[in-house]
Amino acid sequence: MKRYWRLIAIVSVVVLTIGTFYIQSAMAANNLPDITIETVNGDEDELDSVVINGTYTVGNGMGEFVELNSDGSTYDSEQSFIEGLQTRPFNERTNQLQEDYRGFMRGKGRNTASYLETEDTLAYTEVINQSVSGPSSDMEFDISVLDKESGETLSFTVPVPNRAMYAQVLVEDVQIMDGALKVFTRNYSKDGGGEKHLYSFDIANQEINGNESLMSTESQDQNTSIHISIVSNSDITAANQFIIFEKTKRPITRGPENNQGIDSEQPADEGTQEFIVYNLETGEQKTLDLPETLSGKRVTDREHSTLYFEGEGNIIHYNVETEQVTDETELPVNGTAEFTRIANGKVYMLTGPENQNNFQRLMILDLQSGDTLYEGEIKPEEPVENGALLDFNGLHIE
Amino acid sequence: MNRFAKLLNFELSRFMKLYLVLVAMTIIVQIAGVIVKTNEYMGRANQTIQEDGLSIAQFVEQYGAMSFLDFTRSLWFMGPIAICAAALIFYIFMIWYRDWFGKNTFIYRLLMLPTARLNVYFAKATSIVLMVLGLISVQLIILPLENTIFKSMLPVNFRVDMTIDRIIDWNYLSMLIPQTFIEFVLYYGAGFMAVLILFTAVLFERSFKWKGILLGIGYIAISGIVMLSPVLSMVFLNHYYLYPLESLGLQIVLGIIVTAMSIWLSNYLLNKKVTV
Repeated sequence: MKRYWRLIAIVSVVVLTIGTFYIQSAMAANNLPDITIETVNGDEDELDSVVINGTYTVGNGMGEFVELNSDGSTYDSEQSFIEGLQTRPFNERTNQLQEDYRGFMRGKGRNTASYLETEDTLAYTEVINQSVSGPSSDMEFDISVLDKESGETLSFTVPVPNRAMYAQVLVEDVQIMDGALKVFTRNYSKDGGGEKHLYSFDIANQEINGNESLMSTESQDQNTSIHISIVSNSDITAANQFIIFEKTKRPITRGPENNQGIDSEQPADEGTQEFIVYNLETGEQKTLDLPETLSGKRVTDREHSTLYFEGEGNIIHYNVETEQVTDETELPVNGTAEFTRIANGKVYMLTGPENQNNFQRLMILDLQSGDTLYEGEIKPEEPVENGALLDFNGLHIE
Repeated sequence: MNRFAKLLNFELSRFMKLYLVLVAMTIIVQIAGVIVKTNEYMGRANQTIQEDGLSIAQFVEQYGAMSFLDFTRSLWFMGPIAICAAALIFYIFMIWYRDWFGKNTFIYRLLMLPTARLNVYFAKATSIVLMVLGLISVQLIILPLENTIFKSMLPVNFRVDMTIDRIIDWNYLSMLIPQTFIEFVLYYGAGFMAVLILFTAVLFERSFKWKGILLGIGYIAISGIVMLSPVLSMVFLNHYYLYPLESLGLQIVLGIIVTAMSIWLSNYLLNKKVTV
């Protein structure tokens, strides 16, 4: 044995050290604080559909993600390797779809906007064969429609019309109306322009039957910048008769020329909003004529044909079909909401911490009456360690 | 088995002196690094606090407290690791060539031993892997020590304390010491495969000389293509049909195929083709 001492020494050091390290890191808690939502008042069952996302950071920007629900908190590092593989890149909605429709979802992208799920159909559209650098003249729509009842999938590809013109085509929403697949996209032209586009497909005959430009995303004059985004339901895969575009115009203030002789362009923070509604049934679009009381107000969320505006101490309900303010929800005075979601006839609000000794709060209100159904405090079970910061900055309702 | 242990012990002994130098260098440079970096930070802190008339809290707020990661990202920490890695990669080749080009062509005696020639091959591969893992162990042992020195060098309001687990996870160090044991096995399994591929290439060169260099490079390229074939197919087909877990399974199967191919080829070359 004495002759083998080097071998024995190295092997024992390796096995002992690495063994201890992995056993110890598997057994020991990771020293990250467990976090719970502590009920202040209300019914705890309200929490079941709530998922709150946050980050735990230490020092200069190092940290990890944490997810919080009624069962407590889960840090990224608490996931096993296999769990991590299956859920990363993290997207709850597509993960759910993959679990439910494993065969259909095989080889499909993770852009949630590409999907439409109704009671009997799951549809998917993505523009494939586009690369940012190379030639993009092979761009095609890759379309699949699953009939949930029969389990049959219909798949076909259609070249993007006038594809030589475009540098990139991004799918922003997918809908089905009367057997036609409607695909809303944002098209970037090679000459630098951009537009919102609607493509329509006849599913039964597997062909394209409509192609129209909805609006340009380019500003006509040099002193304003335009930003157009789709205001979607909390769940963008849901069916909708109305597609709502929010168009924000901001004046550009030109600063003094910098040392390269180029004047700096700075869009102002505040701008004017405009809402354009596309009705899938009639194929018409109209610009909403908002009442004075809503001008300049921010949209917090949307549910079907109702837009919810953030008022002062209340939430104003506005129906885009009738173009009327239909209701208001008074908010309790304590706490300003950092994040507000509206779903299932309830308002979910996550407030920011008011000061360092304070915890973030979650409030759930009834959308109609404004009654507080639940109020809870987000509390780490042990104090957060010196120099660490716990911040919750995402709110999802399942 | 006994033969193999003897050969392995022998291979380890031959590199032991240099290896211990690498270990000592790592320990000395890294520990010196902790002291230098913390002193640097404290020096800057004292200077700024005096010149700008800041309080400690104000300084920390403006410039940030020092965390152990500030040290691990410096050359003091990464330098020794890089040198050790380079030395071992170089030794993957030298472990063979020294037997041919030594004073008395030692490979004669090695290959004439009354044991399967593949044992020589495995002893060399195992000793490389063991030495890599040995260095990783040394790093794991001195990290807590460095962390303790780090804490003793800085007053508590100037530092962010971290556990060893987190120092490793939140860093490129997790490439060397992955978070879970499954990953550890996968990473170092892949490393073992890479060593075998390089060994096969060396044996190609030893068997066919100049032509062998091309064959060796060709073999490395083929192995690389086989291992990357799932990724390559994704690039060319523009579509990827496998779920992550299936990809992992496929990658493991491909790795086993390449490893088996390397062992079989090396065995063949060692027994039939190699020239002394």
